[in-house]
Amino acid sequence: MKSFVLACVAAVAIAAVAGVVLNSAQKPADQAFSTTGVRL
Amino acid sequence: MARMKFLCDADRCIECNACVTACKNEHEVPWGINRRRVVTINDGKPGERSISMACMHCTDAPCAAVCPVNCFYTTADAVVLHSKDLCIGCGYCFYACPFGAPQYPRVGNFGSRGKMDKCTFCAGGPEADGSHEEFEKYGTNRLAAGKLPLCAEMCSTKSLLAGDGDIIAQIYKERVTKRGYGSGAWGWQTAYRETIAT
Amino acid sequence: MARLLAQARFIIGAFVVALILAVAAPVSAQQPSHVSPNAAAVKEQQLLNALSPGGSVGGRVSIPDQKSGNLIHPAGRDWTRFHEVTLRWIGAISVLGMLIVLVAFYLIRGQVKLESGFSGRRIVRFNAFERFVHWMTATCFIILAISGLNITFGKPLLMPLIGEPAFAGWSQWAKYAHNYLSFPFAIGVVLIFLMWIAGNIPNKVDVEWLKRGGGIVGHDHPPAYRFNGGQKMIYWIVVIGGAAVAISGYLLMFPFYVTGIEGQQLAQVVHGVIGALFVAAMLGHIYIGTIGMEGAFEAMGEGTVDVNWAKEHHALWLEQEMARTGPNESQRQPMATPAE
Repeated sequence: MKSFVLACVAAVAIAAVAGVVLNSAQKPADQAFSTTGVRL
Repeated sequence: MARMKFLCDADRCIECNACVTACKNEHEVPWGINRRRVVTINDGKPGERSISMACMHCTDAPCAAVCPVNCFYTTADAVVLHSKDLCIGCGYCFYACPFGAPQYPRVGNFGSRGKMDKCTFCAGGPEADGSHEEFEKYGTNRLAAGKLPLCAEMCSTKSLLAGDGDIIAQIYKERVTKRGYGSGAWGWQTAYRETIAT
Repeated sequence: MARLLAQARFIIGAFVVALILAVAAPVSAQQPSHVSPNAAAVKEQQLLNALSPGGSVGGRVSIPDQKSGNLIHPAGRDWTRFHEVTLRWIGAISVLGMLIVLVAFYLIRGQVKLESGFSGRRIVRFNAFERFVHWMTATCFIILAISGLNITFGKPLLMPLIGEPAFAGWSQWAKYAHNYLSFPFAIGVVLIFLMWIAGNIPNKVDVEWLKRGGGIVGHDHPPAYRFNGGQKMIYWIVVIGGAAVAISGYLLMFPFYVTGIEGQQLAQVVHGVIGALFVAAMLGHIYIGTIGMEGAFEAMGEGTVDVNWAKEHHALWLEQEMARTGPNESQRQPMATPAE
């Protein structure tokens, strides 16, 4: 039972960490598509 | 009842991008989203053609068929619109669209795409016609005011035509007959399952 | 390099289009030649003939989103047909079919009973770390399965029941759960692969085990080591299927980083088909680990199994364990502390 509860907690924790990391790395389109020649 | 269509006469398009600019300005389209774009084929070579492409407002729209939450609907004028409230940003409509019409405001890592945005034929969305909420989400609703899409109105050479399909086909046929040639109606058969015989 | 190739493909595609004259025969693939813009009218049907092998027409755009250079790409409609029709059939037949088979199997064969009865002596089968990894992977899989099946089956089955706004809200959260829980699931699959690779290499004992019905077809007790033939099949389905859905899934989650539009469509096809088959396979695994076999669940539930159960189903493993620890101890070396 303990390993099951720990497993659920770990899953949520890893998912949350992944979410934070990826959302901080996300770029809005105007930055993503800008080049040196085009500033959107 | 009118059946609204777009037609870009590839022999007249000069790649001026007035249609692109008009659309972005009129609807205050967010940066990075290109509802309408001009594609140049054979750039710099004989047979160069430019075509302005947004959404073809297909008869049996693949985007509407594949949407997992059914956020698309077709108006009485056969304009294909969608609801940003229902959209979950899964991206399937872009995979399904033969013309690449759907756009998403957020890209980069973890392309959690945000609400899909696309050409509305200047017909707004499910909110009340001409309301502030509708403008915020979808842009101006010109059709409700009895006007045609701004991209076609602003076209410098009248290559981009928008309006009732029968009238447009008629105009294009006259042009082709007068010229003696035509490059075909790009995307017409894919979108509307019928041909314009010239 | 990929962009150069993409541009070359666009230009070749454009050449084909510009080349189409009033020629009756279907145009075969790329044949560049000079083009006269005053040529006879280009009919759109000829354009579509050129597109039909799955090609596309594209050109140059002046905006940074180079994907928009793709003008017409009719394969999008083929993909739509796959997702709306073919994938639904594959999913329905595999998942419902497996459920029906399991119900029938239970009614006909019944539960695999422990014929010699429980002895009361226990032996450790899976330690705490193994159980942790299994349950983390398993619970993630359940949620991934439900949220994934929702994308394919939610619209026809669930939306009519709860209405569009509620369904869209539920689907939005299901999508977030699916995307974020993919990380612990992928980690779990990697750990499972590393943890149990030693015990899951197929050998002659498994062939014999399968030939004798695996103890489930009929009432034989073919010997097995720690993992029998059926378990090894599940192991490799999890590892290979898990890798496939993880890779295709991450391609979908980070769109157009690696592939173009065709690659994205292919990734979705792979993800959907393998996902559906994966669900069907796991239903079988869940069945046998819960109601299908007496005394089986506790192996993963709390870590130990009855010695009689081990004797009947994994006799060779029991021999190895006894030789290692001695007949009076119920724990595996080098662990001296209890499993929990």
